[in-house]
Amino acid sequence: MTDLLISGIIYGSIITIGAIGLTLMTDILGFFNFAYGDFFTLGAFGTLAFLAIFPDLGTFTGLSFGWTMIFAVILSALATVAVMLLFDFLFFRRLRNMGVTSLFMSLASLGVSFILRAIIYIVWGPKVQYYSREIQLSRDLGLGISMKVDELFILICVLFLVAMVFYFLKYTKIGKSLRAVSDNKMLAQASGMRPSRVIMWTWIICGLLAGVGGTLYGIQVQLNPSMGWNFMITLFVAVIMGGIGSFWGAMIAGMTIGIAGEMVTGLLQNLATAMQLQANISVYKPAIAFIFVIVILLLKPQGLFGKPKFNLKQ
Amino acid sequence: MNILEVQSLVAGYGAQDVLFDVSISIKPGEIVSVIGPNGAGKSTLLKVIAGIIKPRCGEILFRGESLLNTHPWDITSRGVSWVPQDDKVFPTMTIKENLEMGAFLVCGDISRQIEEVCVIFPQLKDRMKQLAGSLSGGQRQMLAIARALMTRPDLLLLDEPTAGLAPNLVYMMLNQIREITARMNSAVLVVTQSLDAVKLSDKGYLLSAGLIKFEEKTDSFLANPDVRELYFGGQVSTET
Amino acid sequence: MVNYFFSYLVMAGLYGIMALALNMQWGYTGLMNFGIGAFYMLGAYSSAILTSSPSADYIGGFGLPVLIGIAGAAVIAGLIAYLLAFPALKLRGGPFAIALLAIQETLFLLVKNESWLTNGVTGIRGIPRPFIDFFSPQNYVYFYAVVSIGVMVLVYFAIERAVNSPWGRVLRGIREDETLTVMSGKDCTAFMRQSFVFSSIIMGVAGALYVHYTGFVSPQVFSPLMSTFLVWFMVTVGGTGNNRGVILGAFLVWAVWIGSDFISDMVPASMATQIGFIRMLFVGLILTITILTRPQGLLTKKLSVIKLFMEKEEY
Repeated sequence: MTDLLISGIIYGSIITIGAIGLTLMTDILGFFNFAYGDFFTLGAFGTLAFLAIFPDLGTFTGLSFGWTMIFAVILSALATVAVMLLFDFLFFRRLRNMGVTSLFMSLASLGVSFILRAIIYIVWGPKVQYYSREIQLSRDLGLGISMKVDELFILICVLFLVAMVFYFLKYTKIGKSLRAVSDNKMLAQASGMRPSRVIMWTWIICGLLAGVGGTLYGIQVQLNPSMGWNFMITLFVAVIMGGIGSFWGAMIAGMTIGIAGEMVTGLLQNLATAMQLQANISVYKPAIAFIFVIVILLLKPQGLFGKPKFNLKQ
Repeated sequence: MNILEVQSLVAGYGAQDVLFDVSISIKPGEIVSVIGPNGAGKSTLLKVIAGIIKPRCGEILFRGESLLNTHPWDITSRGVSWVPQDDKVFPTMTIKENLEMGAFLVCGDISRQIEEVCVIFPQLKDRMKQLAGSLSGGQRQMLAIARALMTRPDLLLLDEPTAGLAPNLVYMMLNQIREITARMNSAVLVVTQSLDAVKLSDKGYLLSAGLIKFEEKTDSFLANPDVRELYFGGQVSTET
Repeated sequence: MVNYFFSYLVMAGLYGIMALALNMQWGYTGLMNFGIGAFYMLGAYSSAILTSSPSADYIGGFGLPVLIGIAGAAVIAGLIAYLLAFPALKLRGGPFAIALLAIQETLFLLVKNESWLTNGVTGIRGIPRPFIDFFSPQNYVYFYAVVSIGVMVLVYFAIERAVNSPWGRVLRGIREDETLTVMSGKDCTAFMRQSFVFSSIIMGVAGALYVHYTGFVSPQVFSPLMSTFLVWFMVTVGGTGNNRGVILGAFLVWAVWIGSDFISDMVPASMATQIGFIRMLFVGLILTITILTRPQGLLTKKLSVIKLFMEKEEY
């Protein structure tokens, strides 16, 4: 039971990292970016590439990685930002200038997603890869809680990032301007904010989150070129459930989906085993999230904390 | 020397023209009001000056320089602040943050500017941490003007500042607008339907169906039969 | 070689049917359905289970005639679409796309894992191929090309007829301005549901036609890429909201997709695996470049589809 809860919290915290970036992006850019999941993948594989370049500086006690990993993650996050800005320059900026509708922007982002995924497949191949082949054992942390040290690291890392994003949005001038644009686009422009600058900062924040989030996801599971694409649906579900543009909504929805997904599938699996049924329920973990979002949207169409302007029911 | 010169402006939405040949001028430190019935194109005029809508032809000169083909954010940085009629604040941000966003183009410390606007609008001072979305209509209007004043603009564009306010608040608001020009030496362009707002201004324009019908100093403006026709329904003027 | 060309025609025809059905939803009604593959898959599996010979591994193999299989595919796809329409059509735009994508993924998981029903990843064999006795296996493709293209032409006329009727005008009204259409007294959700169900039935039939062509079905062919996004590329490239355009798009995109098989024959075996991903890159590029240069697609119908592409002028 506690094991399920803990793995749910870990899964939920990774969803949170992705969903916070995605909710910000959907809100400010004004379209559903289907390429976001693949930027997640890019972050994970970028770290893998930088890991191979750098000399091994040994591992931290208890963890499966060391300083090399930290440097690799930072560089990979920066690289993800660079690639995002490049794609914005090549595609999305032009489309914005053309005045294309948000649905067509989404469709274009689908094309970008395929381009990016194809490149990742071509460069790294379709094989499953790992940062470290070591098998880690869970350690007892007292109070009946046992988890891998890697997982503890992921949790701390996510907490740190969430706090950073919160600080950025709440206390820095640029962060506040992002919130201002999300509140009232025309007034923000009339107050002197350049849309191009705001969009650039949105890409930067989302790129950093995707880079680090992708790596954390890679540490927790494994790397394959479709990981981000498959993860994206869950991220979107968290964004829609939390309400587009809501920081707290993304966080609460991300944690809920993570914990509920693990708990429900785990408990059903236990039940099936107890009843000696041949069933593999854990494969349906993503489906739990979908059921959630349908229920939430039927009850509260703009999501848990959404602004009324994003009433999805219209 | 006029601070703002609008010359034979034509503008509209889509295929529809709303303004035909509008010319107005404002001197520094002056309050100028444009009145007209609904749909006359008053808000459109301000949006064109603020750079939100691109005009079809005509010229807008601010301190002798053209504002055509300038983005809204650049117009703000040149010293023109616009207060829209609807959606005039950032609702999920606090009053303080709204003021900070108004001063987005100001580098460095802005506590002096905040103090300055709090002298004009003392109602805002104690509520700095309150969300703008939770303010009443009058407070919202004050915050919106205060936000626009943060850059110490040379020209303030006010879109219906007294619409929807209770009568006593209207007078308070008008006094505060007069105080703005006195303290900050900003010129103010008010578009309004209220004749009270005209009384405080130096000059009035009558805008009707996208055309400037009449331009005069305030006293003779209020005495004009066209204005009376528009606002007192004509009968009053013929009977008296 | 000729054989190869005709097998291209069969698949292009089937994709043409899918593209026409998607165009009905997206081009004429404005529904961003990212889950069309689900209905294709439902049709394929329904017909497969109804018509294949009995098996011990899974339910069914009812051995029914092919026509009943196709009818069953249409009914099942339509029924599921009808049931899904109630929660899904509460959403619009991006969220609708996500919901349908999620539904497709869930159904895909079910088909892959519930082997009592679908025989899992092993797939279902022994699905009857109609009139196979009259042809040698090599020549069967000629016959089926005629079937596939013929059905596509039928669907084309049916959809043209539908969208040019008063009913189709309401759909276009919904796409252009839903609020206005509601105001004029139309129950938009009902019209959208009808369009959604009607095109899902067509997709189900396309799926059934596919399994009776190959005689075999397994989950792999219904991956979101092959069953959903490829069709999206076809519609976008060909011309959203233009039925002749989307057929052109289907033939073009499928030619690019298949054409890379020739390239993979020419390059060394070590590179052959990469080719699959290079064509993914290709179609991605084709899609983005189309949207950048000709957002209305290759064949355009002026004015009928403006609102879907371009934002209203900013106020």
